[in-house]
Amino acid sequence: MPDFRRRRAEWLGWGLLAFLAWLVVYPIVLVLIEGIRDGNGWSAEALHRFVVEPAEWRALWASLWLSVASVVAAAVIGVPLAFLVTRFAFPGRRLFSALLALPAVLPPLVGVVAFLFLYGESGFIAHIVRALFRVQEAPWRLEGAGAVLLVHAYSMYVYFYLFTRASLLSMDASVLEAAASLGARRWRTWWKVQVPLLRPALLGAGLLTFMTSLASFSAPYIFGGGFKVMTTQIVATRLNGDVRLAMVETLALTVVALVALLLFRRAEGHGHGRGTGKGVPPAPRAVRHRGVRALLPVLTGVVTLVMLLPHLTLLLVSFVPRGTWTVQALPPVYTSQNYVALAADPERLRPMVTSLWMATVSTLGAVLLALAAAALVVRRRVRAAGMLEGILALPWAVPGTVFAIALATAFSVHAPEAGRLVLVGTVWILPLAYLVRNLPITGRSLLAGFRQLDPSLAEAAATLGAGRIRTLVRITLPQLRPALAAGAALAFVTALGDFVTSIILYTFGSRPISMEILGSLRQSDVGVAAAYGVVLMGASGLVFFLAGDGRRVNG
Amino acid sequence: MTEAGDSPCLEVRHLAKAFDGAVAVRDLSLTLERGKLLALLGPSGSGKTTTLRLLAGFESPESGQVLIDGEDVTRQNPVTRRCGMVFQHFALFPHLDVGRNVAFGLESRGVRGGERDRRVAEALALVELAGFERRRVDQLSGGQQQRVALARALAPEPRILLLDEPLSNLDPSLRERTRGELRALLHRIGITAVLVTHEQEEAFDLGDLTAVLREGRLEQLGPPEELYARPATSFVAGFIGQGSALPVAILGSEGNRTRVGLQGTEWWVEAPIPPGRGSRATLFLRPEAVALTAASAHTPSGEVVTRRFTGAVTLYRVSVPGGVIEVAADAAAARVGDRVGVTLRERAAGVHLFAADA
Repeated sequence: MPDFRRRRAEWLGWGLLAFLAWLVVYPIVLVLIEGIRDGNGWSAEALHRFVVEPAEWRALWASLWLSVASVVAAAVIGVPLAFLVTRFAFPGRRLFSALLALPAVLPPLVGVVAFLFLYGESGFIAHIVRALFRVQEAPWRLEGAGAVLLVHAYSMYVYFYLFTRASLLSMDASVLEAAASLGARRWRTWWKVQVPLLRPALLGAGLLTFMTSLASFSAPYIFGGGFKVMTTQIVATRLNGDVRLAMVETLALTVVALVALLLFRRAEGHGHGRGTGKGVPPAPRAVRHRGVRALLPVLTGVVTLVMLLPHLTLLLVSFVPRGTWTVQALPPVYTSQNYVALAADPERLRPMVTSLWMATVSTLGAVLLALAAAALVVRRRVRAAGMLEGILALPWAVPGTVFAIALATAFSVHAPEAGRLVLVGTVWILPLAYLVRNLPITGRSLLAGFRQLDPSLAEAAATLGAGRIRTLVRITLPQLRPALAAGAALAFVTALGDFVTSIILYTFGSRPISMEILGSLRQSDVGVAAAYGVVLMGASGLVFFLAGDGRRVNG
Repeated sequence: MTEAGDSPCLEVRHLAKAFDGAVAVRDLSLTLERGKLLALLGPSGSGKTTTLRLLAGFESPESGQVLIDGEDVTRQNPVTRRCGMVFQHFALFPHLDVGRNVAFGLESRGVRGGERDRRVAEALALVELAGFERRRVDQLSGGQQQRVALARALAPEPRILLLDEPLSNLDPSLRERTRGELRALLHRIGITAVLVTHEQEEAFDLGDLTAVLREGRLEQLGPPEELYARPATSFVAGFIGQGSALPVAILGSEGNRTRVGLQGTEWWVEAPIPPGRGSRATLFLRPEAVALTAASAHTPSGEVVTRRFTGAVTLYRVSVPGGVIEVAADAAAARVGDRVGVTLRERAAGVHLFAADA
């Protein structure tokens, strides 16, 4: 590479790093500083109030044990399911295998609302119980730590399921056969070979579940009741107007998240390299026992149904007119009026349009930034590469609530000389927040995409006389299409269904779908809330379908 | 030909296996004496790897039996069969170091402590990797990985060693040297072994006996010299060494000689009439069994289509009515495009007649 181009790439690298630091790191640093300042200068007053308040420590402890428990519960559901659909042959195996992965594409708030409609005191199950036993009230309340944990297990098993399934499918069958031919019986092969080989997948799923659970807001917010975790505590404190205490709480949660991340990374570090094999995965085993063979599809079908029941309930409720489902087991009336209301009422249509354009803009931004960063890191190998990669991944380790607070802090003051603008209260703060939160998603997929590219393809294009733009458009981007599609789809869906940053940063004029769902629930307009949920579900599913299609076309 | 009172180390009786209706192995029978090395040779899809997996117990046959040391192991699973296996891609456990990989089979059989460590060291010394116990397997070269796989398979002292294309995963430059080392090692420890390969050279070099498989059927079993000199079928003749096959008509015979007709010309060939009905047969000619001559009406004639210089001889492919004949001759014998005749050499070896459908 000529010298001047090398230098230009370096400058671009540092420039991009500075820009990302301003977007990602600077707001968090501001929160840290303002947490220990007051009007008169440095002060540990807020910090002191945090330390001496037992409720704060309770919330922090609750966040921690809830996350650990969620990891265990999600693993207990997800890992056996993954084994079931990969290692045993039975009718319907492929269908169940795909259906069980579905919850992965749904926004968390939709899952939580669907759960409410299914298991809540006035939900579907409660209706059936009341009709069957002729009781006035459902004999349970879906509230507190148990309810939150249940929702977490239900929605996060999918991480363990997907990671374990992928790992089982990429396992070299001959490694397991080698153990057998060396005289290892089934349990020994299981403990000494199978489980250690699954370790990276289990750790990865564990980390993802832990972080998601630590950052989880929708479930504790709606089902928590008196059970407070750090995320709900932060929002409550801020709504009470105690901004500085909220900042200290934010700091505490960030520290927990980063420590957890470090511990997981250390555990991963003890792992091993890739296997020597390039073999094929073990074929699903036919079940010999006739009774078990007949039972397997039934059992898997029931489990799949139970896992998807919340979303089916959401669909059902979206067709029920307001106030018609009272004491019956099943809704007596079905209409499409809830959907008509979404389309006909401009006030109801607006959140959808808002969410759509915000998700589009933020996804485009996150993709472009990630594309530039990945090209500089992988192709140009600029000196800032390590830091660029780290900064792209950082928002992932920081809970969404923390980022929302940080952005609300940084962009509420007009001080251009300090890199601060007033964006809070404008329509631009939410797309910016979505963009920052989506950087890890687009960043990871594009870095991986670039690393899989064969650099000699671009070199071949150059020897054939293609300029940089032509090479990018004709060679590099088409090759990156699967990575682009996957990253963009996930980012778009995350932004479309976002709840945790929206609730802190939204304005009434630019409220997204999630806030409208919450509003409809508060007004007991259950059908409309469900219809919004179904629209989100449909849009998410469609985006993933289209992105998956792109991957297939690409081979 | 087993010694009295001593059963062969490996005996396979009428083994058959199909996958979803597609036959992989059909009616396979063979015996292998102790200390001998058998190479299963065949093109891809010929059932050689399936045969090996049937021996190891990873597949169970539709019918037939596998006997090791006279014991029927057909219904035993791989765990109890005590067959050592070297996998094509080695299948080393990536999460265990070299020593623990080699110790794995010993521990399965309850060998622990100092005895285990001693035998691990022994097995590693055998493959010239003494002191490699604490190395990670992904830090080894391909050749070293292959030797660890071998040590791991040998450490529990298996009754029989199975090797699935053990050299195919190595660089070509490394393959020949490794083959020599493998041959020396297997002969030194005197283990009975079955090896799968699709390369004739590898089969002949390593195997005392070679079994040629085709579409799941055993075509011929014998020492390399026999397979080359007396192939049982035209497939074996063509798969082992070079040569050309031509359809011919049988016109008559006299002792061990047969008169055949090729598209208007006639030849006496030094081969008996093949068993079977009909007057059609397949004539197989090694390049060195024929020579070039002037084109004429009395001998198969045609155009030289390719000429390939290989050093000691030059191979000419001559397009004659009914097929192509490959002829070994000297470098100046003809040029591409010349019209030439092909004639049989006097008392040439390498002329075979097979029944037309074989």
